[in-house]
Amino acid sequence: MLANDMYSFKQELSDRKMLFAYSGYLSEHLLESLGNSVKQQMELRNAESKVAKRVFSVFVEQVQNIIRYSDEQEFLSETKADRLSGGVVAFGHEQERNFVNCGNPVPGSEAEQLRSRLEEIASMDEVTLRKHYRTKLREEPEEQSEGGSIGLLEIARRATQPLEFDFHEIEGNRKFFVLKAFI
Amino acid sequence: MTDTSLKIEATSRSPEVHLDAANGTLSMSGESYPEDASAFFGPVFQAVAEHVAASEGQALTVDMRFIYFNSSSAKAIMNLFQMLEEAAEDGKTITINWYFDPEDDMMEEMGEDFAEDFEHATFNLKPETEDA
Repeated sequence: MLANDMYSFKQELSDRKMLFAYSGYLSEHLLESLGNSVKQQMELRNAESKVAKRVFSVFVEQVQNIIRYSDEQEFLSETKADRLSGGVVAFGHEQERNFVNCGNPVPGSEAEQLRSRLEEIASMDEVTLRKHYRTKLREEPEEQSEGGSIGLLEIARRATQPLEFDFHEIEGNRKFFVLKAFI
Repeated sequence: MTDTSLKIEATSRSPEVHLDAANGTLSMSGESYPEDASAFFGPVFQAVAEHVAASEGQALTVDMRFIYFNSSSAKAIMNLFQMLEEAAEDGKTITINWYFDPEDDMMEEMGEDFAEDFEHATFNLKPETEDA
């Protein structure tokens, strides 16, 4: 029963073409370890280094977005690097494409702004994205931002098809935000 | 002249940084996605700003060789470049060399993104093969 249950859980991830998935508290330390695993798996598959770098870049930005913007955060110390942020991250490979699929709770009040920002980004072609990125690169950071707005542009630039995103109502007047990028 | 040199060893996620005040060179190389980009780049920015202020008449050559950096590092690097462009506007001779693997279109494009709007400092995009 025990093995049966765990095996079907593993099979479920595999049916979803996920090479790994992590749900729980994410941290900078975990980002480094999971990021190394992404690099190793790309190498194992003999992926072109160009593609591997793009995948790694999207992975880092996606996980750092969870760490910085998840509405579920705990601090083990006052240093930002020791922050624990609740979320889920999955890295997978499906029909010759890699994907990084992430989710985390966000305050309900921030969901609409995030949605409109992503709609704007999704509507941009490659040239517009790059132009917008160059502008953001030169701007003073927005208040309370730890670089998130340029992070989303970085993800969109490295992705090979438009970003997919969605919001799901959860308890406490919050939304569960999901962003999926294909590379 | 006060010695404003700075040397930071590379880690698996932060670049090597070397500011050689006597020779007027700054170099950075490696990967950059530090746990806290402002905590890492803040002291670098500070040291370079102090060096620029303390080394009037001396030229500064900047050599950048990045393999990868995240978007927070990109903001910090741009911030450093903007400070150097301002110093060049005030008369300092500044040359920035952006080295990249010719097969790495991401680093080449990023170099182009940084290079835009430099008027006073010289920004060179330099493809460089590994065994060169």
